[in-house]
Amino acid sequence: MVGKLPGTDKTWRDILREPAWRRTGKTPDYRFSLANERTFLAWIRTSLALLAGAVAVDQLAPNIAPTPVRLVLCVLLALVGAGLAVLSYRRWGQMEAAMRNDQALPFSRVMLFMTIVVAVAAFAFAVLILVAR
Amino acid sequence: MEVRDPGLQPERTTLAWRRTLISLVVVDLFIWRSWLTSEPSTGSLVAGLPGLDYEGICALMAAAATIVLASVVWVRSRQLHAGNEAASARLVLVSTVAVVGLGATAIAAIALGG
Repeated sequence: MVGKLPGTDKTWRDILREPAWRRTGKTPDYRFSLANERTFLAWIRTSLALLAGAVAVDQLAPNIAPTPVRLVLCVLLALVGAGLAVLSYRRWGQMEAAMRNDQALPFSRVMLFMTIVVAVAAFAFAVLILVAR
Repeated sequence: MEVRDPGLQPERTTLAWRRTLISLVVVDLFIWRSWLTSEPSTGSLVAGLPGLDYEGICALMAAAATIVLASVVWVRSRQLHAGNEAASARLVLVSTVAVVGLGATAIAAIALGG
């Protein structure tokens, strides 16, 4: 017998099975499915780039800012990276669910959010590089 | 034998998975570097493994995330070589979990290095 997850009726087996939205509507054309998969991977790579940037700044530029400031900036960057990985999975699911039910692809603020994050991070590091010398 | 896909969709998708694995290895290299450049600790967390401090555990976590994603990429490449069926939600979820785990490891490595 598989144990139930706390707070829900779901078992671990339900989590590992294909989600319910995968059984609705009709299966999209494989070209659209694979394009959606590649979009997911592109977001995952963006997330990995943020993680790499966070760890790289922390290790290769120890004098860019006082240690507490540097730590907070790098941890924030890594947190955004990890959150973006979760968002990319959610988005992949929403996109396929929309395709299956012949609905418009959902609008998402992820792009605006990421533009702001990258612009603010670039500005912050530019200022720090100028101040550090 | 199916008609060859003129858009090379399966090939492009396989390459996208491999690119993703390479990006993950870049993060690994920095996490492993933080272990190798950290002060060697005298005490050991696990008896009999003197070099395994908290940074060492981060390095192992990064290696684990790489193995998980590499397995997913291997499975998916084989599937895409055989046909052009969509990815199962499980494969996509497992790769997401691997990247989130690597993110947690990266945060730990940053916090330990300070």
